[in-house]
Amino acid sequence: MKAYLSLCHKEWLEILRTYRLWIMLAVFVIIGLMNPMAAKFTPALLEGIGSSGGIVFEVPEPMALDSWAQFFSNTVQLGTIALIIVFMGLIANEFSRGTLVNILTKGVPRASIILAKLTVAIAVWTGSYLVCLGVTWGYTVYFWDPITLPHALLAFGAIWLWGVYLIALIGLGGVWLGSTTGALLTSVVGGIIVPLVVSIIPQTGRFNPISLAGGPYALLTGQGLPSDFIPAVLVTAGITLAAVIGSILVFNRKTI
Amino acid sequence: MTVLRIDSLTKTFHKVRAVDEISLEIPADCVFGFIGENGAGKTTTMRMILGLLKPDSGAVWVCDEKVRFGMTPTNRRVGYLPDVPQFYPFMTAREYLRLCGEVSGLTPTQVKTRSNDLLELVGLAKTKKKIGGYSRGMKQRLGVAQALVNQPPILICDEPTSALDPLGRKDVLNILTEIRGETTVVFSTHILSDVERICDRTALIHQGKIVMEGSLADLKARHGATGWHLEFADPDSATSFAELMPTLVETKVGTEVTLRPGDKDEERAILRTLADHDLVPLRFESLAPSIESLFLEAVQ
Repeated sequence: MKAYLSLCHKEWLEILRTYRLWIMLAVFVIIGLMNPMAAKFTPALLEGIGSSGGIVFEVPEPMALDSWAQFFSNTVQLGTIALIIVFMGLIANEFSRGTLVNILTKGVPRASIILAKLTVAIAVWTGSYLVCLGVTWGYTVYFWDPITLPHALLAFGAIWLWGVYLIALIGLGGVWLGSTTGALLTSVVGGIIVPLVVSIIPQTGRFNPISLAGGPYALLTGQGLPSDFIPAVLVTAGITLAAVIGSILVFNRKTI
Repeated sequence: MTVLRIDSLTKTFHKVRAVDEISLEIPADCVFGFIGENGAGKTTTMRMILGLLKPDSGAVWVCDEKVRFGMTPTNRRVGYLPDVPQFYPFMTAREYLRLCGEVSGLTPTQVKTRSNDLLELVGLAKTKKKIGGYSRGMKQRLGVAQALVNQPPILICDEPTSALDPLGRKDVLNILTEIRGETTVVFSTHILSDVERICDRTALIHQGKIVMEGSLADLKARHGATGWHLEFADPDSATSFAELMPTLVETKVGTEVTLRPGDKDEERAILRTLADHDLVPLRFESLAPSIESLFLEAVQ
């Protein structure tokens, strides 16, 4: 436990001093600002373009829900890209730089290294995500009257789980193949492209992790039901857990 | 007491036997030189001792505890200095030693005391900059400090001086000499003068096999005769001296005389004869076999 906490502190120092924490926060503050701004000003912008060109755009009056629609779309798209870029070297870099040798030869349980890395990455993702959510919420309440969002915890929690799922897959690839290419292979190919391809089969939708990236907004609008969504959440949580356990098992058998 | 025991250790990479049935016993409190040319199997052996590599067969015991691949509680008794140690560039030396101390299970007070002592020992106590700005020599010295953080009974150094300039080499060898007595040092190298300088015992590894092993003095005594080489200012002095010690003289060429004394008494007799007859040689040199000649003899 002591080794795990010390390693968490080291991870924290690393993410702080290599500016990755600030990059994550900056990106997610920008995304958080973009959501309500885009919802609020896009109609006015389109009207402006339309009137100068003689075209009339029929744009409905923007609503608070439009801001949340932007939130889900931008956080999933831009957020996923930022998350993968910032964390793709999470474990792989330790192998390519050879920095683990000194630590491992102190008799440190290998699992604590993996768990410390995942803990700090997930903490940074959680913090960035909450900041993004807070900024969007603040401006949405400022521009529009507060509204009740049905199943908000499940909808917002799903996007958080999506981030944790990607971090766990990045970790697995990093340990398994010992390179950032490996991390990209498991996260981008295994975590996004494969589920996207599988989603062509409609019956898989309920269980597909990709539903977490595309489905939560439907819960807020009332078009989706939690019961349709929960199987995908459980499958994603299961894959995440399996990736973490897999990373530890692979690492325990890895030659350094 | 044996601190490290290796029993029939074997490792093959792609049909090449990197380590071939190596057996060794290393006693406590010695500086053990593990000598071999590049690719002889030194690093492979060390990685198996540290549980970083799985042996094909054989076993290693550290302080009577068997080493298991992957799960390495035995490493709590071992300090390891890789040939080119890699650190986190964003940390200072003190932060790095704190991390190493904490993961080794030291208390906060022990971490502080050990860090201060070790930074003083390796000459980095006054350096405030981050490790990213260190020279190779500074990194190697920090490498020694991190390896010693938990006061391990064994320190394993993989070619600690091979990548350093003469000054850096001297620094690292001095540090290893200073810790002699507290820690058993196992030290791999292909720089033979380093072995002569600091090692008590040595093993020569060639093509994965140990070809010679023992204390440096024993090896020299076993493999090659000892003797003395004297050079005088003029041939007459050399001739008079040679005539005074006819039984010990092996050769006499011009101003130079080579002697092969059988024991310490005969060695003392050489010095007495020189003094009694007021003969002062220009050069008085030991002809003990060098580690280099032993190494060449062993691998040929």
